[in-house]
Amino acid sequence: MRFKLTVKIVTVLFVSFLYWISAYSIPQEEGRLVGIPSIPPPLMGGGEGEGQKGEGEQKGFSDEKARYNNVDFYKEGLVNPGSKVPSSHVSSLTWMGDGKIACVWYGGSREGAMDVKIYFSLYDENTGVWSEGNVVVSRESSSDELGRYVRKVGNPVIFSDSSDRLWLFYVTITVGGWSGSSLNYKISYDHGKTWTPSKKLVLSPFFNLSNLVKNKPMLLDGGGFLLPIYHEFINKYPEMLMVIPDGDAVQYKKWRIGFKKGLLQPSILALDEKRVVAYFRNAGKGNKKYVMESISNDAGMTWSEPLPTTLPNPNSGLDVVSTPEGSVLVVLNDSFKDRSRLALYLSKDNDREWIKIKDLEDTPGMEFSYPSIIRTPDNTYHISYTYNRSNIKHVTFSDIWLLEKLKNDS
Amino acid sequence: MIPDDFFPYLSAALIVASLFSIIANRIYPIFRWAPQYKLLFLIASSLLALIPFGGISAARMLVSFNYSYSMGLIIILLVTVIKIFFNVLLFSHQDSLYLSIFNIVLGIILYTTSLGFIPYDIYYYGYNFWPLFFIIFVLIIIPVFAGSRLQWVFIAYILGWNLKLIPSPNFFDYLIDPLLFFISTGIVVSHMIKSARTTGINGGT
Repeated sequence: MRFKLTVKIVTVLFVSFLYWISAYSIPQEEGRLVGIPSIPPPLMGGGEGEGQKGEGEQKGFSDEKARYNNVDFYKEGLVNPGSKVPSSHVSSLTWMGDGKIACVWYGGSREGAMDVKIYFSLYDENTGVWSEGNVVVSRESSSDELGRYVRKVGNPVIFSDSSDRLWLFYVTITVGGWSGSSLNYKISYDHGKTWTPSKKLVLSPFFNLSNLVKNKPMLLDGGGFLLPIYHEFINKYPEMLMVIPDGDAVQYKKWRIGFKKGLLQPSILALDEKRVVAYFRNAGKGNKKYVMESISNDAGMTWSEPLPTTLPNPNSGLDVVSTPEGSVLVVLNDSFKDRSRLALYLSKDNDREWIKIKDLEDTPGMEFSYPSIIRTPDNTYHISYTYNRSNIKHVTFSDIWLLEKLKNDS
Repeated sequence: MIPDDFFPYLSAALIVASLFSIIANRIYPIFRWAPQYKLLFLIASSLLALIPFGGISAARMLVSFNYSYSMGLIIILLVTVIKIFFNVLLFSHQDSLYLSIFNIVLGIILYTTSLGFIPYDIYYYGYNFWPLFFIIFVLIIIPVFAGSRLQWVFIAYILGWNLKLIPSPNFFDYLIDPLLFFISTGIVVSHMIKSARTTGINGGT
């Protein structure tokens, strides 16, 4: 009897000791998982050329290039003009410093085919030429690196963080369609020349199913980032993934952006130190759907009830970026029915009134979709998007062009 | 430092070994075998999980469908294998039933919320210490004083989470996975059928 009581007391003491260890370790991790958005340069009151990159990198711009960027220009071309595969889709852009832009997309015989690979290409602002696309991920390479069977790969997102690391997030599917996706990442420390092996993130308790990505993240002050992701198995809803780099590994946690269903592919933007806005692809019911919008006042932790904007949305992806004046630029299919028109809109002061800047594409019967937009520290905007599923198109224009457009329109 | 893939592959090998053991046990009870045959059978069935057939092994296929299996599943499989090989019952039938009921309730709550049927993000609380761990603490203390061995299961969950045995930062992934949920459902359903039969027989006599 006395022995049994002793065992019970020892057990309780042991459990309490375990709890003490757990309680000691958790708050430290929690402390690391707190951050505020990196404020876009204009909102910080920074001058021209001050941005997410360090000052040293800004000095890399030549005087000639600085002059080039102060002119009114609008250019367009293909990222992969001589593409050897019939289908290209879902591109993503990032600024790499020294006048280099990186683009990733997936290509193969068709969307979701087993021969689809993820391609990487570099754009040199000085020459205006894209390098030939290199394969960075195939289903075979991903399968080997993850130690898992991979049936297909897709949806790549690339971005450069505050430590000059290049991150590539992409999805893999073992069985089924896109709703069966799970999320993986690779890191490059040498501007895309070499990559770490793929690692998978466990983000769902149900077979780790349905975690997809489409748009770029928002960087946090502590070196981490908030990556907008989404779920589309049975129900569709947007989510937020906080990632804190820890060497080649990461600490992470995810949460839902509200509980409204039918919203996908969030695109997020920091409005100030704490305020973040998210725009969503509308996959809800009804014939006339609009882009939905939600606001966070605590750096993305909690979100307001999503409300419709005045921007039409035919259940297709979009992307946003801020201007030096604090306006929001969005690229989207401004149609209720299809993806044959792609346009650039601007909203001043996020007042939900949108001005059309330009129709980037408008050809009935063709598809222009899945845009990605970035603004570089040298005052240039770059947009990439799927061009009729066959290529990735690249559009670039200067701040001056945008200001002139606004001036002329007003 | 345990490699990320150690536990997922260990659980996959255990799943295959348990399946072979259950089948073999039906043919001739394994606990009656000579110790060297038992060991040989266990090693062979685990290795079979790792040998590729048609380019992919059973273990790799299992971890492909579910990236990581829970500690709860590993415990259930170990208990099953030990029972088959040594005829030693680590948990009473009642304990297995209580654990299965816990798994079913947890699974229903977790899966319905994470698949969006209920507008609540309970999975998020698996990243934080206190709310979930408090419930587990209560679940440990009750069996301690009720004389049940289930306390060790919950202690194993906490230990495993502290040692980061499973490649997930979420505590829920240590407690349950879909395979464990289905096994637990099978245990409870089979218990209900047996109970109904017993009641029927007793009622008839």
